[in-house]
Amino acid sequence: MALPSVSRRLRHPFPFAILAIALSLSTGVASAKLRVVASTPDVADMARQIGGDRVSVVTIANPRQDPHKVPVRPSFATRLHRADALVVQGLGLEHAFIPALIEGARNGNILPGAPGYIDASLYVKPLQVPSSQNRSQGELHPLGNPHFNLDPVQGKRMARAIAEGLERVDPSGADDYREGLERFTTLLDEKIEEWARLAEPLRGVKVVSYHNDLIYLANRYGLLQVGTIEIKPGIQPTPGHLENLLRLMKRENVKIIIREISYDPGVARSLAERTGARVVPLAVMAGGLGPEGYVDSIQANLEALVGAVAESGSP
Amino acid sequence: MSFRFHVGRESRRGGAALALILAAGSPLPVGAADSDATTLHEQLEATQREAERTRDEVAELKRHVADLEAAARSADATPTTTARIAPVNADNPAVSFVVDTALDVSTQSSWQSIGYPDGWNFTLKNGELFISAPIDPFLRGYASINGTSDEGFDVEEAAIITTSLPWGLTLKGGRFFADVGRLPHWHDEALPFVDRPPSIDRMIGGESGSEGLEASWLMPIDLFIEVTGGLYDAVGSENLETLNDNGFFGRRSFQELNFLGRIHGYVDLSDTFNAELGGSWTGIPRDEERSLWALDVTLRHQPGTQSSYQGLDLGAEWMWNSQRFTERDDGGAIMSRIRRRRQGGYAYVEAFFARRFSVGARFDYSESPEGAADRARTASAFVTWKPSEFQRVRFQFDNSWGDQQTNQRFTIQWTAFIGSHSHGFAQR
Repeated sequence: MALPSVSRRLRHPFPFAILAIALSLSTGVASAKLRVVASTPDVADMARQIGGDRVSVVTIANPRQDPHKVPVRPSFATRLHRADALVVQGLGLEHAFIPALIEGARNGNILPGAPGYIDASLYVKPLQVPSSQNRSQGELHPLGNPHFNLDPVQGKRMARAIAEGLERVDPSGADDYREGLERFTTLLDEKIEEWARLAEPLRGVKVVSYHNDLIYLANRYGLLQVGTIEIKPGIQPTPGHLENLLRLMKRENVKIIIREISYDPGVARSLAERTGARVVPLAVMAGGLGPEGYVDSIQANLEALVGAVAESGSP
Repeated sequence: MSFRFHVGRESRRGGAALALILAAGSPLPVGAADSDATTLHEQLEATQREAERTRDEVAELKRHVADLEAAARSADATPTTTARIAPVNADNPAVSFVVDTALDVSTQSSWQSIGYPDGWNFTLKNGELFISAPIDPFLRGYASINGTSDEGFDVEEAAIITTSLPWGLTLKGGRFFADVGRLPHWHDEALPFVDRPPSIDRMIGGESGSEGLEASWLMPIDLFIEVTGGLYDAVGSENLETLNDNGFFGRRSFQELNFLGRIHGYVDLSDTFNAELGGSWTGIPRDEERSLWALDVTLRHQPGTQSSYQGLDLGAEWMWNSQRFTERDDGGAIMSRIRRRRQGGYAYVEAFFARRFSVGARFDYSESPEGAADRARTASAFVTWKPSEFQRVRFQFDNSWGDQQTNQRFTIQWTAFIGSHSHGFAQR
């Protein structure tokens, strides 16, 4: 009979099976905390601030990565598989990795639309929503520009959506989450006033950025974005585009080039050398410039910008 | 709010004027009193004028509000259409199309055993229509309809997958690429090279196309370990085609079906360095008594930061095949039964030097179904440039040698993705 030969072959143990059993024994007792997986350091920090001791938060994206290009690592699929909640920044920011990870995680509780899928963009009014869209316009986000986390006022709205999401998943902690939200928004309110004074020199300053991610920050503090190093979102610059940008910068007397830290410093540096502008690193996710946490990251971004503006003599 | 504040401010001004008027009743020198009275009178008139202006503004605003309310009521009462009809395409699935075209030139005559055409050749390597969508809260489905220059259009995959089974289980059914090894179940356009490694073509029979049922389980531990079991008509697109073309659509005994077992793991060795390891067995218990064992290893350096685009992938896959060949006479009587064993595999490295630019090399070794007597080796070098996320140009040079004639081939591949195209987690 042939079938017994199949079972004979299947009896051969795979090394992984042994490893799996050993690891399953070492996994330990499940934590009583709410298991939260956060797509970016910003929403991770907010979930920690709001959830406090009630939550255990794991972050997928590294602060120095490009949020549009985060590698899909199966180790996060296992975290998502056992997660009670997934917090995303939203508006399609994480399109490169969250859909694939959700598929690999096999957890119905965190599918989009399920209670455990917490979308931090829920109360944000999106800007730059394309009225029509095709790929000739680059890698546009159909729901609008997703880089609203750079504006701390939007940060308050993100926090509200996260707190409500945590409460939805864990109603018994409602009071704690509301207190956490109150604490966090009070802190943000204080800082927002302070940042408004700090960022006063940015008003009217003309800048060029690498990627089109400044709109919320620029609107808040009065920066004027006159161009991007990318031809269109996600489309790398050609020599012709850079020459045009160079002329534009000279004509508009642009003294500040904002380089989001996940982008090539070489192009920005070359433009700066030819125009006399200063290159300012910008963290599009919390912790990218060093200081961790949402509040500290906003502070670091603004200090870097204000410092560069002071040195450049802009506008 | 601003309106109320405005009225309040006017009232306060009026009140101040009134206070001044009352104060004017106090005894004062006659000249001074006249002067003050005149001033107060002027202030009173100014206040009255402001109050009138405010009243006019209030009236205007009230009219405006009334108009808006009336318009809203009118809109409610008089619909602009006779019925609310949902757009017919509201539930349409995501649709994308891949255009994968190439020009290749070989320096020597055809080496049929590993499928290289000779001379100059423009090819539509792959025109793939990919459709996917959730079916209901429990299932999602996808189909890949694929056309090439030499094979015409065919349904490459059409499968349904569960999305909400408990305990980390997933069930897949239909026609799909069986979970054999790593690259055998990748679509052509997702491969890191111009072509599928020749060893996969020879050992499996093209990509791991199959018709059947597959169950997989994600272990509930921190480490990613996935176990898959499957039952199929055939594994290997060429085998499936042969089977379905044989006049009885592959109908045969249960023990002549293809069985599959695979275990696949992933581990982060550091924040930027990770490894994947997989092992699989595919077999036919009776008649052919085939066993195909495969082991795959992938190491990746993925910093994911600005320097991340200077990452590195190392991948290798090795397969061992043991199969019984039966020769029958015209009456179906067995004339001879021979067991043949062969092996093959590939290894590659790809270095990502810039955001959209990579360079790699691959070595492939395979033996034909005849066994080690017909060996083929191919060394390849390839360069990939992605002008954007949605198009790719790749140059590849292959040098093949072995027990047949040496062959060199140069290929330029141009691939474009129309629409949102992703084969998801399995081909990340």
